[in-house]
Amino acid sequence: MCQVILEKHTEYLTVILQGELILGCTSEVKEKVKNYAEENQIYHMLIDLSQVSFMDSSGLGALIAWFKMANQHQGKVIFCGFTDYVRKIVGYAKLDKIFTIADTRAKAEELLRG
Amino acid sequence: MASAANILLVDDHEVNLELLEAYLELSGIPMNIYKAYTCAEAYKCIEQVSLDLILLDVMLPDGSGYDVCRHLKGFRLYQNIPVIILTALNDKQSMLEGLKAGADEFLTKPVDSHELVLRVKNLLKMKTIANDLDERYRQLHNELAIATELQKSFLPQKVPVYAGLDITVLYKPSSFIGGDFYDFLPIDAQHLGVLICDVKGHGVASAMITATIKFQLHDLEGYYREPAALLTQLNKRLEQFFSSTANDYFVTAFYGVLNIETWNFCYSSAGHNSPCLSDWDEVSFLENEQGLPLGVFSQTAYDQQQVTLRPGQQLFLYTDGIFELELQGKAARSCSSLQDLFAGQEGITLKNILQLQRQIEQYAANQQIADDINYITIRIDEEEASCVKSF
Repeated sequence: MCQVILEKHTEYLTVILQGELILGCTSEVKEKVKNYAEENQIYHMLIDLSQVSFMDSSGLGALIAWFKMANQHQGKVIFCGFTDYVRKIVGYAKLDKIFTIADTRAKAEELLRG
Repeated sequence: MASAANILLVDDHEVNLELLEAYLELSGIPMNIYKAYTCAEAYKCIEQVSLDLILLDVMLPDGSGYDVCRHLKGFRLYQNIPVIILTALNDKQSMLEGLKAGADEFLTKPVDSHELVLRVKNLLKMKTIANDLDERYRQLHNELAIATELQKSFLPQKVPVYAGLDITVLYKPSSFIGGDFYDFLPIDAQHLGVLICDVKGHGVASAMITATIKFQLHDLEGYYREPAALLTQLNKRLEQFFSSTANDYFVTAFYGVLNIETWNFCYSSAGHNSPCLSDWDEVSFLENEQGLPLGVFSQTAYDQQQVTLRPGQQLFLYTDGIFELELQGKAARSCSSLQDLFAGQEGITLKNILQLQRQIEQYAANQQIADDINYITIRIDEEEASCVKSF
């Protein structure tokens, strides 16, 4: 199963994902993040995947959906905490070409504050 | 329940049966009552009548009520029929036994009429809900079956045949409907287009998207010769389609055009697994650095590359569903590309790829699979080539 922890900062939202981002639980998490962004009217996001143990294509779909949503609202999305596995999956789909991926959470925060 | 509930009373004492019947009739619930004195009679009634509830005594002349209950709950057809077991007062052991057998409720003897009626009413309500769910499930099941047939009709009905070329396809959708799609686009006598793609997601929505791709392809005939241009157009249309409907869907795709005379193969990829090119000496992969999956960004630029195939070489195009299988002794889901699967192994050749194909075939033939399985092989005959050379 997967879970999401959402935190609100002044300039951006932090989205911490945990567990397996797979078909069956991803759509709920996806909606949660979307609703949270809409409620707060904040579309700058830090998405931390360091606690994601597995991800399938629906997980990738969620990342794309958030990325697209943010883009539509001129928001900036910074991903961080890529495990080797996540890096590979994202790389195969060539999404690393469009995603901004920070090596550490601290770097990601810096990019969002800057 | 359509109108009256069908209730079966099982007890070997006529007096008990009459008492239960009287209580139930007084309740005013519309019902038909059936009676059985033995396990055998109970089984017979269960088979003949579409029951909505069973009141079951434990001690029966030819067995126990627990056996009847256990038997019933073991069948998909009967397991939704609620069972109330009648036990002696405060007999905890019988209650545990009944729970183990799958009973839904208990009534202690002597039976209190109010309690009986309340429990029966509650269980009948639950049975109505279960019936409703069953009915919806059946409808959905039928619709899925129709959608599966429809989807099959979008796939090529036969594999193209060319002299000197051996083409095979394996396609098996997961539990009904899949998001994998492939097509052969015969351009002219000299050129054959091959498309393989994977709509990310499962079920009806993915299947509908494969239909959309099929129709868009039909409309894009002018681009069949140019892989990058075809993917660029397909991407624009899918992006438009997804942005108004399904924001988190995307499609990985690989499209190539084979010149049947020169064996030149021109291809482009949209985030799809790199096809593998192999012969008896080595394997290589048709990498394509550019290209996001289709439907993510309308402005994605695709480029194309070329390779000239040699006699005896085989092209293996696939979708990642095969990695839901345990392949080559590696755990399911531990890889996401053939490069991963063969990582660290030396001397991989066509032989290994053929072994892999056989393994996938066996899985596809023998079991339910978690993801769609789809691969296409295109092999250039060795014999044919030597004939050409001798001319």
